[in-house]
Amino acid sequence: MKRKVIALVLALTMGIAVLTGCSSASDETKSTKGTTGDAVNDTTGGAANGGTTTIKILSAMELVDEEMMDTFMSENPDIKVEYEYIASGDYSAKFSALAASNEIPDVFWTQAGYYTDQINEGLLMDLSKELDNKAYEGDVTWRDTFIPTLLENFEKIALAGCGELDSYDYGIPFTMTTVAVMYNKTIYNELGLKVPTTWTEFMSNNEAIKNAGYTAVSVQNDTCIDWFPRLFWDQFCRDEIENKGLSFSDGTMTFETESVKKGMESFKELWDKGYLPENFITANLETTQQMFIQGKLVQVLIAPDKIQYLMENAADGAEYATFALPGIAGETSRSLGGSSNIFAISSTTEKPEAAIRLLKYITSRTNFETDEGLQYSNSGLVGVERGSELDGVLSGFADAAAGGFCPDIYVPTTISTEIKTAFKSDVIPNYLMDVYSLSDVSAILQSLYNDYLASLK
Amino acid sequence: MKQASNKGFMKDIKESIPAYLLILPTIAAFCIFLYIPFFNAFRISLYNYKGYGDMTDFVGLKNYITVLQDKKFFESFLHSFALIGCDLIFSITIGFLLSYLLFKGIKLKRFFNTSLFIPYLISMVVVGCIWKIIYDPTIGPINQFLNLIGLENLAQPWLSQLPTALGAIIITWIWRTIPFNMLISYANIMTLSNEYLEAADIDGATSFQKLRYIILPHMIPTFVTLGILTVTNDLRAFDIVWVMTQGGPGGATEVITSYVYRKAFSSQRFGTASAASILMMAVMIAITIALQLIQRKGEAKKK
Repeated sequence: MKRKVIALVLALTMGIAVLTGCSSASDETKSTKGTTGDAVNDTTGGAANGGTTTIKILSAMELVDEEMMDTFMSENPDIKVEYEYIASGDYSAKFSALAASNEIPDVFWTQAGYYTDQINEGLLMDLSKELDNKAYEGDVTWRDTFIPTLLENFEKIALAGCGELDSYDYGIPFTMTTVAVMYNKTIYNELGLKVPTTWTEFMSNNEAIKNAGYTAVSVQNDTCIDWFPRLFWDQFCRDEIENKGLSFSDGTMTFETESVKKGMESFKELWDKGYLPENFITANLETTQQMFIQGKLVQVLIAPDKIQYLMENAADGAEYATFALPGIAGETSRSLGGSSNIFAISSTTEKPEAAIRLLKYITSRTNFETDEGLQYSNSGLVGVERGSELDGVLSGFADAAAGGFCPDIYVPTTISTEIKTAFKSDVIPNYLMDVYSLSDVSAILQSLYNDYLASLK
Repeated sequence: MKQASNKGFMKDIKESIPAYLLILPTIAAFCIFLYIPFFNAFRISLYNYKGYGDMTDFVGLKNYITVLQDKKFFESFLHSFALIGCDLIFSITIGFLLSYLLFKGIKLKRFFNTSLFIPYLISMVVVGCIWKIIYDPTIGPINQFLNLIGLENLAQPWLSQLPTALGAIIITWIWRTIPFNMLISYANIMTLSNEYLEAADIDGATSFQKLRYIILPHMIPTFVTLGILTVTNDLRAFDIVWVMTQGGPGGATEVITSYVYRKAFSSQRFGTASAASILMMAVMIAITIALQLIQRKGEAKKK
């Protein structure tokens, strides 16, 4: 009997302890929530009382870094920014986890496939009214600070991915991203090569580079593995899409169309001829950068936000320059990118004013003129020029931009997160490694695209 | 009579109350952290769900059918079982041989005992990063060494091609698990009574005979336990695979956990991913039950 009583007392004690633990945890939660709530109240009332508003930003662009946030906070002492960086390859996973737990940051980076999904799910704030308000500095409206073609290109993403909408302003393009080939000028000179102006010259250079024991060409990292086919489609499919008015959405064009297949075949040719590195499928940014710096890789298709490391770590005597990739079908060479880096605001943000101010700052003249990391970037803003000393090295990016931009959603492998992921992580690697035939590639992509269209209905 | 049995039942219940109260916190923890998430996952598996937004598109068992029709799902299982098979054979064997060496006594025994265990102390992510560099085709030491000794023909993009990618991952995994198997084997080999070995010495048994007829039979229950631990642990393998290849190239190193992760977080198909994870759980439970039945049968035979 005595034992039973002791056991009962112990059990009750344990139970109470657990409950007490739970209750204090919930009290803690309450008090934490209370603090957040206070912070929210501080935001509205607090700014007037000299308090601070805390907002969160998630960036997958190294250019938008903590230093930039520090500068913003020093200019806007009433706003505190909690910064988080995620590599673009891990963005989808990170964003899904945040969205699933209702913790979407106030401001965040996004890109075509994700962007359209996020609009469709109602996760983004409509910024059309804000775009017609004043910009971060000066008297112009925010919308008028952007180069008009950049915004036009940007609106097409939402149109292509979401169809007719009341507004296409669910985000802001950050920089006019351009893709060009950065090459090792020293090795070019050593091999007696000239900057190619046609595709034939480019391929002939690749052959010479390969025969000299170097790796001819690559893309900046494995998450950009789809750049070559997308650039090839821009050439092969342009006539059908832009002149003949064929379209994937109405079925007049499919992944079985010859021009689409030709883009994939040309990509495979680069691989089969051994111009791409052996680790092309899995090489991340750091690996590619090291290969280029060590002089093992001679040409790399790259965006301006990734060249700072190469410029600062170039080997002694190595000289780098850039050129626009010649068009494979002889059409005017257009660049990928344009408005491919987007920053958006969560539709559920509790601090819209602070979030908008941060977004305005990121895309402001002040930011582009003061932030050192942005020196290699094309701002995409009216009247903001880059330092002339960099023009020589970066002329390739200017040439690439001069040809215009391929729409972000063209042959629709970037139209949704699912197609984008499957194309990069399954279709391309298996096609290059001869696991999938060209007809397999067409069938897989068409099936995914059909599923996507069905999901919109 | 019936009344008496009811009374007895009530008495049993009353007597068990303290016991139930004692296990209540554990049950509560299980419910919060295991059963509720499980039922939530099962619910998600019946919907077409992207992981955010409202869960409204009920699709019934469609996600299960999708998974079972997906060749990649079975391939990822196959890769998981390849990993388990190699781990069972090589890791437990090497772990045992190392423990046998330590048991026999070697110079600097303590140093080896500690240093051999170090890989197990390193986090999986760090192990993955280290081996990713080791396998790198241009800056990795393996290829650099092969080039140095004139075997450049053997230099490979280890993690970037079909024939070598999975093997490279498995080697890394085995390297990480050997120390654990060694430690458990060593702890058990030490429990072997010296009397048997001394008697064998008197009878003139060779080292191999002692190993074959005394030590190995003594170790069999340990091997079975290590086998169960290996199977259940390896089915959950994720960190090293994700850090080194993310299941690539083209799914060549996709294991069941990375398949689920990719479906959920990269493709945003939470419904399909939940269905796959529930199927995976069913397989894990079946394997665990089968292994335990085998173990019990073995023990019963022994008795």
